[in-house]
Amino acid sequence: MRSVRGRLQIGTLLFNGKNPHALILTRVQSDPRKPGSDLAPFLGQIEHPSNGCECTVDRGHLHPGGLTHRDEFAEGGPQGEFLDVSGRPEYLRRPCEASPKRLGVEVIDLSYQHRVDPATPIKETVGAMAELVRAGKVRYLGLSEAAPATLRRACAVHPIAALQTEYSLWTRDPEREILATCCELKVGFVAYSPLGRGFLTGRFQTTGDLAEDDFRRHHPRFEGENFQRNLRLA
Amino acid sequence: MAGEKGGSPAQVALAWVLAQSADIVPIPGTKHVRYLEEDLGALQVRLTADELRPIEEVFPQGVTAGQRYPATAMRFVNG
Repeated sequence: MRSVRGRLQIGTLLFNGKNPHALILTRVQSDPRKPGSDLAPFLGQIEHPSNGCECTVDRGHLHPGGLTHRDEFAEGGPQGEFLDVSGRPEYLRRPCEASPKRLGVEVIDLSYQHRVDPATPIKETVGAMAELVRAGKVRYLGLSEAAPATLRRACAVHPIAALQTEYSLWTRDPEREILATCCELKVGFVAYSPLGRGFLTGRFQTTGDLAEDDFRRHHPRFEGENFQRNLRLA
Repeated sequence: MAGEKGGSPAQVALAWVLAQSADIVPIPGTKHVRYLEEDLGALQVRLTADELRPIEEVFPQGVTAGQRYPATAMRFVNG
């Protein structure tokens, strides 16, 4: 587990410049007694210097107390928006230069390849990430939503400290194989969406409880008949 | 499905993940401080095997209706 050790971490996917609570949350998280936070260049525009949110997650508020600094590789646009998954070696070097500056640290503790790029062999992606470790820019490597065979190939190139994949009471898929693979390969498992994107909090009784612009309105499990069936299960 | 342990549904859901293995770290996200505090409270909820069983029976593998992403986003999931 190494750098992902910690019983619970806080995801920042939902942070954005419009969220009045984001700064407060950041301060809460900067408390060294609290768990580490998950930071990604495109997950949450608040982390992107170009959107003008200066006093936020990446402005150095998070690092006291030995909290883990993490960053993820994915293709980001000028506003920090998600463009595409990219595992190309030449791409990986770019966010690796930008991440320490954004996070206000010298070295990134844990860098994720955010999702497996189907167009690039995983050995090439992880090979390039391993070079970043050797160059002293990154301490540990992570992958996201990698299949067991992919993880196995990755670990043959360089140790993988963490796999971040969806896992919760309503997404039990990892139990089929990947949890055991992680255990065997000594890869820590970081369970994202552990609350089923809010469904498991019991706060939503109808689709109408979601705001008009809520992304979950376009999510299969929150739509129409599916939502009602899932509610009956819970 | 919550209640008996004195935890909220969110806390029980997180406690369930935590109970699966010491090497599994849940990473809940939220926009609200009160939910952040609630999530952190899950660390105090310890579920016994007898308590885990009925919780798991709520969502056995494959019973949830709907894929976990819209079809266009499923291509980012590597099997």
